[in-house]
This record gives sequence, structure tokens and C-alpha cells, in this order.
Amino acid sequence: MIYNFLRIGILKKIILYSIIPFVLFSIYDFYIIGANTFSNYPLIIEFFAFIIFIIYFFYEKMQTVVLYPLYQNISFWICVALFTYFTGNFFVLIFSKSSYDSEFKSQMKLIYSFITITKNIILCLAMFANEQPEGTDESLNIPNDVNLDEFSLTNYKNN
Amino acid sequence: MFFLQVQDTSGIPRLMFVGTLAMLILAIGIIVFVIFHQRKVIRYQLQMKKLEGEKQQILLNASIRFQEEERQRIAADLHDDAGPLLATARLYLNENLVNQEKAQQLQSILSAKQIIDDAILLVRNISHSLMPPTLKNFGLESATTDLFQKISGSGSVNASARFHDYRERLKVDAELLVFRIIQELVNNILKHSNAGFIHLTQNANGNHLYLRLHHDGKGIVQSEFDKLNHNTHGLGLKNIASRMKVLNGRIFFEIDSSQTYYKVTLEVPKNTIV
Repeated sequence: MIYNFLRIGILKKIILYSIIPFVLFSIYDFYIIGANTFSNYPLIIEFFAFIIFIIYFFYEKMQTVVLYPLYQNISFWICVALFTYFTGNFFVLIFSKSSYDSEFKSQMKLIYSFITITKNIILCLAMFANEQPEGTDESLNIPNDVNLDEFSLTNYKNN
Repeated sequence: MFFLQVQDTSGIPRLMFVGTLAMLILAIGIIVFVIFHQRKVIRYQLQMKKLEGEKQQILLNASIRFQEEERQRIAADLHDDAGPLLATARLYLNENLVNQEKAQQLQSILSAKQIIDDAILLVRNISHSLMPPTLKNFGLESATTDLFQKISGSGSVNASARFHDYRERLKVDAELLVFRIIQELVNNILKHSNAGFIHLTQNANGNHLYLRLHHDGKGIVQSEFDKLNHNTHGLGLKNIASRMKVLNGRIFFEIDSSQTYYKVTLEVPKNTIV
């Protein structure tokens, strides 16, 4: 989804090619840790990558010239929802294996639930975004095969 | 991640809560910043749009003023030249003519005939200035070549025009607008640039017709054209801009990379609705 939202080709390629090492790492991590234990490392990497990509998406949106507010854009609200989810749960995920205390677990659940509900509400808001078509670029682009410069000062003087 | 795996677990819930809160504040801050920045950009764009609207208004006013000036010029030509000529001819052909001698009658008729011929020529000149007959009968290519030959014939400037691909003629009204733009540009070059030569090249591609004027005088670049267009003075350039707008075409002023001559390029859609 983020892949489709971004405009720069090189970053899209990075996202595409980073899937392979990430999948390999996840399989390796699963193999090392074992099926009965929860490993948070692949998830931390995933969350971190998403946060970076979404920040870049916002940066790209700031650079783009638009004629309508950003909050009318569905992709913006989806990114806001995901950004809230990934940033809000980032520390929960990091500390998920630090303690097995019941009070800590309930606090973790509370934060996770609050963030997830907020994310879902924002995703619902995205449904109401009234997206507008994008404008066209205006510049005098003369095709290369149109000869308008047959004339030059030297051949003019020679004639 | 090992740095976060602290031995003392009592402070972890607090650390997690503070970390989450900080991350959320950071996220909200970024989102709010993006929205506000974008709103600022939109406000700026709206301001630009408003300025563009004002520019359009100036162009419209210029166009109306130009039309009025043209009407006044025609009215003056008719009133000051054609009017007195016809009045004089009427004087020669008054009722006393029948009482005059035959030789005097002939003289009066010849004089009246001469005056009427002059009036016909004058009316023809006025009509030609409104719609050049070469343009109407033979098209833009002939009219432009004719114009450039006339300029070159005067001896002051070396002028030439070359049409590469004009098999498909524009509509008569569109041709007239393009011709008027060329006339205005050439007129400006002759008046202000002190050029030694003017050369026009025409070509076509797809749905567009391209015309490029080269001259070695003192010209202007696009930024200067835009600036002059926003000024209340400079009716000629505003007329060019408004005509281009009617044609749904574009105009671009630039200096050649060799810095020796200026170029003005016109892009006109072939199927323009005029």
C-alpha cells in the first residue's frame, strides 16, 4: 500500500527489494527462536521501516504542489492511521518481552487496545475523504522532432 | 535492543508509558506540521490564482481598450479622410453642374471621379488593415511571407519567413489571430529592438502548430514578458497574451544559448475553437 502511495521510483525499488532480506531474516529468526517463543525483532524492524516510509510519504506530500487540502486525500488518512499505530505500539513491542508481570501486561494491553481503536477510527475517517483528481503540469514542451531552429546566425549571414 | 533489556524491571511500565506517549506526541506533531505546511502552500497558491485572475482582468481590459482604439481609428479614418473626400465630390456634382458649360462640366466630373477613386482606395486600405486580403484568400503562409517581403523590401531590416509544414490550414479566424500576433511581435521588434534581421520558422507536430521568430536585436525573456504583462502599460504585449488565450495556445520568450539572438515561440493547437 505504501509502495503505491510513494512517487519516487528508487524508494519503491528499495521497498520491493527489501522484502526478500526481511523475509529471509524472519524465517531465520523463526528457526533460531523456535515455534513456541514469540520473537519481536522482525516486528520491530517492520515497525521501524513503516515509520520511516510514512515520514517519507509525508515529506513527499509536502513537496508536491496540490490544489486541495491533504485531509481530502484517502492515502493521507490511511498513512495517519498506520503512523499512529506503528509509533504508538513501537515501545509496547520493544518492551513486550521485558517483563511478565500481570500489571505490566494489562498496561501493555491497554495501550495496544487504545492505539488500535484510534487507528481503526482514523481508517474509518479515510472512508469519508473526498478525493479530487490531480492537476496537469503546464509547460511549453515542444517535441524534439519539430525543427524550429534550422536558422542560425552563421547560415543566415551566408545566404 | 539489548540496551533496553534492563535487569531492574520495576521501571519498565513507566518507561513504556513515557516512550509511547513521546512517540504519539511526535507523530501528532509531524501530522499537524504536515497539515499546516500544506495549508500554507494552498493559501499561497490561492493568492497566486487571485493574481492570475487579476492578470486576466487586465488582459480583458486591454483587449476591450484595443477594440475601442481600433474602432476610434476606423471612425477617424472614415470621418477625417473618407468624409471630406465624399463631401468634396458632392460639391463638384451639385445642381449647378447642369447650368455650367460643357468643358467646365467635364472638368467637374473628372475631378469628382478622381476624388471618388481616392475614396475607394481609402476605403480599401481601411478594409485591408482590418482583414488583409492575402490572408483571407491565400492563408497565413502567403500573408506572413508577404509581410516579411514588404519589411525586407523597405531595406531597414533583413526579414524572411519559412513554412515547413502548413498543409493543413487553420480556421480563418485563428489564422487572423496568429497573423495579428506575428504582426505585433514584428512591430515590437522593429520599434524597440533595433534588430538587423528577423526570421520566422514554422513547423507542425501532432495537433500543434509551432512558429518561432528569431531576431538579433534587444529582446525580452519570459520573466520580463510576464512582468510587462502584469503592468498596466504595454497594450501590445497584453493583446498578444489575450490573443494567445483565445487561441488556447502558448507563447515563450527566450534568448538563444549563444546569447546572440532572441527567440519567440508560439504553440497553437490546430483544432483551436475560435
